[in-house]
Amino acid sequence: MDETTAKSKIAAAVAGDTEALTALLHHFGPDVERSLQINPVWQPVLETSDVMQVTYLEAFLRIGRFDPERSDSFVAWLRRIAQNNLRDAIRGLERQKQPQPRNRIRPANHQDSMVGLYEMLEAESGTPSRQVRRDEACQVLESAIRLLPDRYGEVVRRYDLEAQSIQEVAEAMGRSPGAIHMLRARAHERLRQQMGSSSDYLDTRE
Amino acid sequence: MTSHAPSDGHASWIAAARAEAEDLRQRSTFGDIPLMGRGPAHEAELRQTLQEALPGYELTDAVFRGGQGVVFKALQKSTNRDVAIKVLREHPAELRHGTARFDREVQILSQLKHPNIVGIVDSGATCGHRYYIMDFIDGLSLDDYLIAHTLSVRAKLALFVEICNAVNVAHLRGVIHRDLKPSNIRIDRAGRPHILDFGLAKTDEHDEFATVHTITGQFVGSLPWASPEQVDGIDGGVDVRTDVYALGVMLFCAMTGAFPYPVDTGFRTTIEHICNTQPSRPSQLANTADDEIDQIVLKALRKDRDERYQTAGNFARDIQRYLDGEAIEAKRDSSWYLLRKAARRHRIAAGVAAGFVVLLAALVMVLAYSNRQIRMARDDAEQQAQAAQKARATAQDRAVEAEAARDEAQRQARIATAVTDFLNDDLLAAVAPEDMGKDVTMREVVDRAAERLSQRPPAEAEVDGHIHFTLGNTYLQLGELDQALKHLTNAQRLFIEAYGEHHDNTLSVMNDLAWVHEARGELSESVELYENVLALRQMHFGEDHIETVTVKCNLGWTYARIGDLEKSEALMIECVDERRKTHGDDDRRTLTAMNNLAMLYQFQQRYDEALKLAEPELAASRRLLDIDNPSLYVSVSNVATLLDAVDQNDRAEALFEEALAARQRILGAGHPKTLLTFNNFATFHSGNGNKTKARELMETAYRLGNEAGHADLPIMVTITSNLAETHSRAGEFEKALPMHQAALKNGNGYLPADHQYVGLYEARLGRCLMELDRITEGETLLRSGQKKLEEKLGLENELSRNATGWLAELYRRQGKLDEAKSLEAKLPSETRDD
Repeated sequence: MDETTAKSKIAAAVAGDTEALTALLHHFGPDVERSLQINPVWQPVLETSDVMQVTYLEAFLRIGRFDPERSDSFVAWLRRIAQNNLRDAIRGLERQKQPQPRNRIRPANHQDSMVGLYEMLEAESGTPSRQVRRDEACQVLESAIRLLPDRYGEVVRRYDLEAQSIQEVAEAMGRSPGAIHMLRARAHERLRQQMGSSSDYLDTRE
Repeated sequence: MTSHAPSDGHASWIAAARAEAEDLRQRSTFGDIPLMGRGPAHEAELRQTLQEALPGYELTDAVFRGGQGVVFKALQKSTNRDVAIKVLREHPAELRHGTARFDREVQILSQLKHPNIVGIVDSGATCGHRYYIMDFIDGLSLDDYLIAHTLSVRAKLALFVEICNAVNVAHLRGVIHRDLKPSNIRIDRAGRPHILDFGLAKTDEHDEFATVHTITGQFVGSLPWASPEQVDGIDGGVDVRTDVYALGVMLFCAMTGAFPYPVDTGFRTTIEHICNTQPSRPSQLANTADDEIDQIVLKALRKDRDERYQTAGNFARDIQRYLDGEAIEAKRDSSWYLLRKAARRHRIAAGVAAGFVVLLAALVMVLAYSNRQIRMARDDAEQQAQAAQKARATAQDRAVEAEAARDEAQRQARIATAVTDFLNDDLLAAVAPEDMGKDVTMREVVDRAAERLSQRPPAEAEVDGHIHFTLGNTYLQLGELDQALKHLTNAQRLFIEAYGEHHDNTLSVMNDLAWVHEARGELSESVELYENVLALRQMHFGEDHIETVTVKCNLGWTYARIGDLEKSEALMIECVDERRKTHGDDDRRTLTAMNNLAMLYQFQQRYDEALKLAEPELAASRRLLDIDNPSLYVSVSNVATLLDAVDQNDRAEALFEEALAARQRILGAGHPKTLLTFNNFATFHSGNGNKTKARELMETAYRLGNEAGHADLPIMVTITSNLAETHSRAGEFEKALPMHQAALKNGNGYLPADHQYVGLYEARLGRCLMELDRITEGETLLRSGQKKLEEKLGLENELSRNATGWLAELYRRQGKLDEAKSLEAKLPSETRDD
């Protein structure tokens, strides 16, 4: 793919042309995968394919915010997404080695787990926690979860709300534990955006 | 760039990601999901498809992207008129429900034939795209229109009347818009509004298309205009009042240029605001908005939709009432407001208006009470009648109860009718047509009505009781205490006859009678009555009953007046606590209690404690009360007095001026409350060294009070004594003497003999006599007065110190130097080190 074609496809992809984006991902994806370096410690529980699958999904979800004028190249953008995913996967795996019970929700019931998740998301985002009515938190979060990509939503439900272990979730979803951590990190990121982002009405660009 | 052939793994991963993202986009109407496949290329293709399918139209380049689809502007060739072609966005949610829903939408819109609702020209489908063609409105969205045109407040309101009426038409056809916002209202070049985008409309009946769930739960729409029930996701909670709320938001924005609460702070916070934050008053943001506009807008924005305008038509009507100068529905709980409007509308002469206002206040209260009784009785009767069908008790028993309830309702209706007839036939007839425009006083009007009442044969005890009750309260408000006493006494007798001694009505009259006695200075009678009423209310209605607490408040204040401060404070504190608990901090009853306790603290020179109560109470009163409500100026005046006491003179002076001007305007110059303000303002000036102004105010008050026939009222006693003292200080003892004598005589008429004010009047008179060389007479009075003041107020008090100094001087003049020195030694030393 020459530069002119790439440029044209990037512009089309940003404008909403999924065929163009697909072509770009086909072209640049394998290179990005090759750039990923996973420590042998984690290789049994995390593969580059896991990272790329989530990276492609994020690319489709976030292409509208890519600004070719302001950002570096498309492949650099894609690589950055992949590196973030990898980093989050490894962080999750590292934390898993030293479990911190306070980060898990052991719900008495569904509503408790919703509120707990809500509060955790607030804590993760660094915003001051707000007093939220229990039922309101459930509604907001329930609706927000429904708007996640299926894989993200499934991880949140299984791990955060139903308190399944990473291993259990990984087996149920046919994924590696590292992938589950990665999916969860992306899910939480999207939940925080949906629930409290100041950019809800603005068209932000990366 | 390095070229790689994609592996099988990548292809499947990419395909899976694409499908998943596409599915997500179809489920979402918010967020940063891009318009996948909806970019410019797609729109061009769509335009071409439509053009081919609609040869009778010429599509232009203009395109608008909305939440549900794309809208193309086109020219209808046959008529050469502009139209808009809306194309449905094709996502699976729409495809599942979309065709039927789309058809329903078109059907709804084609049924709504109204000049302010965008009409449907045609509809159809081509190449998998559903579309409909509607009138194109050449104009601006509501927001843009308001920015581009500087409309007066009245013009904006008139515009909203049209908008609300159009929405109401849709409601009457069973259609709720649910997404009303400025972009859905276009204003054409003639300034006429057109409502469009009923794409989210819901019919009232059997709507099988459940609202699409989004991030916030159950509403599909635009958050800043969403109602609490929409964002709360109350199932089935969306109704016509949801549209009323959105209209209220738009009106708020139109009036102020701002939203009722912040809406640009993210979903979570915006939802919290919508559900929990009370909107600002428009008048706080725009000085073109007044109290009535505040009330209209805020009524539409009530969180509880039962408290909103129940229809868009009601909303429109209330705005129109405002424009026509009529009383608005949103303020119908304010009797004073109603009367002011009525007086203006009926062009009653200025001299009559204020009093008429007072009278009608009492009448409205009576009627409101009666109407409330009727409604309650009717509701009870209805409920009982319905319950009779379901109850397990014998049908016959229930029927008998229902019948009794209906009888009660009819009885109440009869009473209300009789009272109304009296108003129309006797009272208003007392204002003969030839009197209109003349300076007929309210006193004359109500006197005539009272005379007509006395001349006609007695009616039912209840009816006459209510009429006497009304007249009694009217006279009370006018400050005509003798007449008030007479009519309220009659009312009490008649209510005892009709209802018995322990009935709520009877106790209410007794409360008012106690009030009259207190105003007349008959404090013992007042206390006795209040104590009786309180005991009966506690026994029959309970400690926490609203009226029980009211009596506590009144009795507490009367205790203060007779000097029993301990009992007074205990009762008043109870009163404040109970009212806060029952009504909250922002209720007028709570504010009255706070005000009274503040005054008690002030009386005890506990100024800081008093201000802590009085200032918030004033702030709340300003929020809650109309500017013509006399109760507001009780607060203003009291805070002024307190600020004077703590030497915040600038603020005190401003408030005194405000209170005095308002009371003269509303109550009249000779009203006891107005006289009180004169007195307090004079005291303020005197304390700040402005003797001239103080004297001027006092002389004015003295003259006005006497002209009004209030010479023996407690306030006039105070004014008389203060004015006399002014003369004394100026060395005008001959002039002061008769006034001091009158003050003591009248003070003795209503105060306990050992009261500190009796002591004050004695001391002042004694000093005056001393200066007129009537030493023996002066000594008796000064000794008595000084003793009372010292006992009641202590020698730290200025009044006590003055009296002690005068008595010491008198002893010196008598050559009793030891007595003089002994007295002087008791005085606090000004040079003492603390």
